[in-house]
Amino acid sequence: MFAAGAAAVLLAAPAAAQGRIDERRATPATGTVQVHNLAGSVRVVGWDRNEVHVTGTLGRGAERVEVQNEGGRLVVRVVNPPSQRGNRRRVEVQGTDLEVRVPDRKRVDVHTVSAEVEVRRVEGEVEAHSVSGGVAVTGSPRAVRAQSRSGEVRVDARTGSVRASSVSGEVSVAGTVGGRVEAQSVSGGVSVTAASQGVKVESVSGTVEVSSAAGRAEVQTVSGDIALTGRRLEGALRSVSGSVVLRGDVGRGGVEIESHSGDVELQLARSTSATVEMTTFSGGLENDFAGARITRASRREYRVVLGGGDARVRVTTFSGDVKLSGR
Amino acid sequence: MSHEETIELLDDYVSGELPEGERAEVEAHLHECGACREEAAALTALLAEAAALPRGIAPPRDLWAGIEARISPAAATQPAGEDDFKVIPFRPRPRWRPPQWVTAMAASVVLVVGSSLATMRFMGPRTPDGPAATLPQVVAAPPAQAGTPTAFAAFSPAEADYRQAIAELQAVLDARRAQLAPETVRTLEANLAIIDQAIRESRAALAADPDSRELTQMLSSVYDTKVQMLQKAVEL
Repeated sequence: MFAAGAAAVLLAAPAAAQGRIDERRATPATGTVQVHNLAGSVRVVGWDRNEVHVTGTLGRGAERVEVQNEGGRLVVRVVNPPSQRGNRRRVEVQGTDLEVRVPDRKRVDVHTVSAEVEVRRVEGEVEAHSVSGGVAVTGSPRAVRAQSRSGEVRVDARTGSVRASSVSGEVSVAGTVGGRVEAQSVSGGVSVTAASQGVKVESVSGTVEVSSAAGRAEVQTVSGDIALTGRRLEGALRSVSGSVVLRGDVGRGGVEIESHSGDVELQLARSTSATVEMTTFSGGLENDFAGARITRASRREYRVVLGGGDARVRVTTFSGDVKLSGR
Repeated sequence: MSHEETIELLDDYVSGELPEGERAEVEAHLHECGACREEAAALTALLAEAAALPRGIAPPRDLWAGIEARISPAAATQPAGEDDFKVIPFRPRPRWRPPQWVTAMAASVVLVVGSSLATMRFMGPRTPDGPAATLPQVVAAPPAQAGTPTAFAAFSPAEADYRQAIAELQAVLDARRAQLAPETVRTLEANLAIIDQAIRESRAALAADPDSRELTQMLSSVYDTKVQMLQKAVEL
């Protein structure tokens, strides 16, 4: 086992001279390239060669960059020096900046702690994880999974599906997504402007804005405000104290809105043909939609018919007010 | 870092809990030591297997579907009544009829709520500054009279399930607090307090109008939100 470990080290690239990194490996067009770098930055760029080319600057104190095959993957790893045996003091290591050119059909998997991550022009799946660094993905990857605990996560791509999350950083998803967008945050805001077949967003206190979703939008927050904008809107929007704004018109699948204390605004196109059913315990209804026909089904239930009343909007609040207007 | 020191830290390393400096030192040793790499790989595989197991805590998922089925008996229209407006009902409104199980359950409602409270007491006193401290007090639903059980009474067993799941999830979250960023902990606690306020408000309204199906659904929905939020929080 020790011999195998030693062999792996011997096969690794030698320490980069004067901090400059320039390593090349021939590699098949497909498969996985994995990149590990604690601090600094990682930029992965797809190209049309069956070769991985690693360039950049080794951070002061960092030992070397390894480029080696591990279990069928090509792994690029920044190696920091071990401390002296038996001495647990921390080694001062500066961040390393890496640019990794990969065959564009490769699957790319990047892991960092504080290093910023950028992935461009990759057509295989992209997976990028950072603790505090930002993550940005562009191009036409098959699918994207991007995650940071405190960094910003940005995806602007033509892709099959997106899963993006951050705990405290902002999350944004733009471009065109053939399938579904899933995004999560705790306190960071979430913006989804990508055209997609469906959106699911969960946030605790972050504001959520979704537009251009062609399919259902499912959004849930506790205190974060929610805004859903677009044509033929469908889905379910749910908050405890956050406000909910619906802008556009409603598709045949209808929209369900729930808010405990947050206000709900329906800014609907004047051509909208929908029936709005509203249930509230103590909230009020304000109507500025010309031509709306309002009836009251019970002490707590209203029914508002717009146009032919075709689509269905169901609004439930405990104390939140509901405002209806035309746009 | 020595071989022995690395072995000591491997658990924290594979679970991603080591501070950056120590993590770098462990990684440096792993590059040089095949035995430790093998051990780390085995631990990682074990964690992956553990993650794939069914979760020990199975919180109620959208209990409203089941509750609704219980408290929505065969449709019968009910005049809306009191308004000056011309009334167009949304849908046939069910007249309340006690499902058989509700009648049977009515006598045990207090017992169920009491059992839930006992469970929470068993889980230990809540710390004054922990999220569990914000759990709203349970006030037992008005006892159902024979033949006239309320939606609130019918909801009580489900509420006990919610509260048990919440208490268990909060215990897990409390144990993980130190691993979360202080800002994240503050955000979670502030939002749990918002949910608890919503539970208190919905519950008080339902206590005053225990036949309200709408208020029962609202209360159920807020409980759902709390369970879901805690589920996400313990996975952070």
